[in-house]
Amino acid sequence: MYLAWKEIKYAKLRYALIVGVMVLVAYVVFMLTGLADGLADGNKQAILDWKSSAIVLSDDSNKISSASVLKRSDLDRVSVGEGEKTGVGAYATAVRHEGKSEKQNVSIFGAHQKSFVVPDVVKGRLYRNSHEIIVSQNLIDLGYHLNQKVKLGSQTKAYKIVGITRATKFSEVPVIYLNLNAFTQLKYGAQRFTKAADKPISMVVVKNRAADKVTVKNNGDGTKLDKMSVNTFIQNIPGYSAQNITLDTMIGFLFVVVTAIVGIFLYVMTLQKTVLFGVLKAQGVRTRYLALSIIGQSLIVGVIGVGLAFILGYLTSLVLPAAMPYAIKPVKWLLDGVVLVAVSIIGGLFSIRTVTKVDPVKAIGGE
Amino acid sequence: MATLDMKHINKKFGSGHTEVDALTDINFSVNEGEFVSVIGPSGSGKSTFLTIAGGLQSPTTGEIQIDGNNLNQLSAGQLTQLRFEMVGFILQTSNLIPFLKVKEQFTLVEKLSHQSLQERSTELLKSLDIWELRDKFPKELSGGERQRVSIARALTHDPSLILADEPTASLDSSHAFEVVQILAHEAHEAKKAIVMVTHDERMTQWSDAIYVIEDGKLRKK
Repeated sequence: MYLAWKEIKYAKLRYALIVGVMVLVAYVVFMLTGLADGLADGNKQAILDWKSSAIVLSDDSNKISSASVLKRSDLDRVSVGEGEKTGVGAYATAVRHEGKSEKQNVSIFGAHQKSFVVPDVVKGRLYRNSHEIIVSQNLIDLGYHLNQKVKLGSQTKAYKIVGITRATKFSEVPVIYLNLNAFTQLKYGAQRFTKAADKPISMVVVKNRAADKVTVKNNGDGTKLDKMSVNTFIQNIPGYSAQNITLDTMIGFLFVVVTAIVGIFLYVMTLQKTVLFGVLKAQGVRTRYLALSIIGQSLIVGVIGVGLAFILGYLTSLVLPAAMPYAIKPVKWLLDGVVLVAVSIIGGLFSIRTVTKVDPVKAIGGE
Repeated sequence: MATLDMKHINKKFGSGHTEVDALTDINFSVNEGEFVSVIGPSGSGKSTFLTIAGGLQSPTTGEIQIDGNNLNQLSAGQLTQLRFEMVGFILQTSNLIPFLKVKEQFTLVEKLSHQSLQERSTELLKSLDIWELRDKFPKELSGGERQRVSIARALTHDPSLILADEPTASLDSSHAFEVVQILAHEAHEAKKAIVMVTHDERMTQWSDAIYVIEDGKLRKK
């Protein structure tokens, strides 16, 4: 390590350049991780907020909530206790200020106000009738406020914002909760349902009971039900898996790039030092010491590069616009950092063979 | 017992019709306190001679002992260790590490040998008159200064045998003489066995014995 560090200090410019490249690549890795996590969170946050364990959709929906249509009476076909299941309506629409045409996309969830999926209100109160809604803080940040009357979708009637919940997203847009009747009205307009039991919901959300412990009754002529874990549900949110795979592939490829960059750099440095290594070997310095020295350098380059990129990535998060989905998850970043250092060490390993092959005989005679 | 003892050394390179006899029946020994010169033109086999004497390559036939250790019986690892402990090399250009300051060259030896050599290196630097240069990098030194540091470096861990490969090749004559005198002095005062290979006959005047190597054969002058 002594030799490794002294050489870096001596050849500052060279090593500054390789550390610079390392910083840039590591920075891109952190940025992509931040974006991947931000996007992933934006897609699924509201679902995670429910702290549920399983979700039941209609089988023909292909595991997509907005395409699923169930009846309120289907709740009885799910084999868990009353307090552990709840009917939820899901609908994607737009919200706008009364008298303005500018719209904001939102995800709407309809649920009974006492349902466990309805988040705590941090300001104001829960809805009490089909004209009242509660909205997530991130919609408020976009210029809406408590006690404001807003229009939803194509409905002519106005809804009043009576409560605000913590910021959350589903399908990358802010979330609005309202009651089941309001949901029915919003999604099905003037369509009449003779019995309350026939009124539509989108899904049944189950808590405290894993999907494989939940049974659904699929006899009779009712809609076929499909139960799944929350994770399966999230993986099937349109675009969710595709986007994660894309970003993860990019990050994975950057790991390969780091291996190549550090590998090539240290290999060239090693080639330049073959005479020196020959002299050192002649003097009785063990190959292992020289090899460890190179590994040490790749470790130093990796750690400094990742450290600087970490700081840079964090500072970037402070100046990014709020609209940009970006989430710093320390555990993920730490994992990224460990992998980056590991792959730069792997890069260093490429030079070991060259060091092993240096023949100390060459040191004598000036050949 | 001689510090370096070579008996019936033969070294062949290649095989079949490309076979070349680099060294033929070399018998050579140096005792402690002795400064021996080996002179020969380029291509005479003197580099091969030195690499075999230092255990960097093994002879085709013959036996070498350094301080009573038969090199033929040592593993590669043991040989490296023996070189580190008992042999000091002084090379034509320099055996210094370009990115270490003069004093750090000694720190490296210290770290590798896991023993404190602070006092010894200070003493060496002072006696070779290079103490003032301790904070300089090799490239900041003149050729003569570099060779003096090389000598100090080769002496740091107190080896019994010093092998010098054309130590004066890159120096002007006054610096060259000075370096050879230092070697002779170290051999006599510090009781080292020193072998210097050179092509320059003027450098042999302080030697205790002079050998000539020609076409792979060694004879005493």
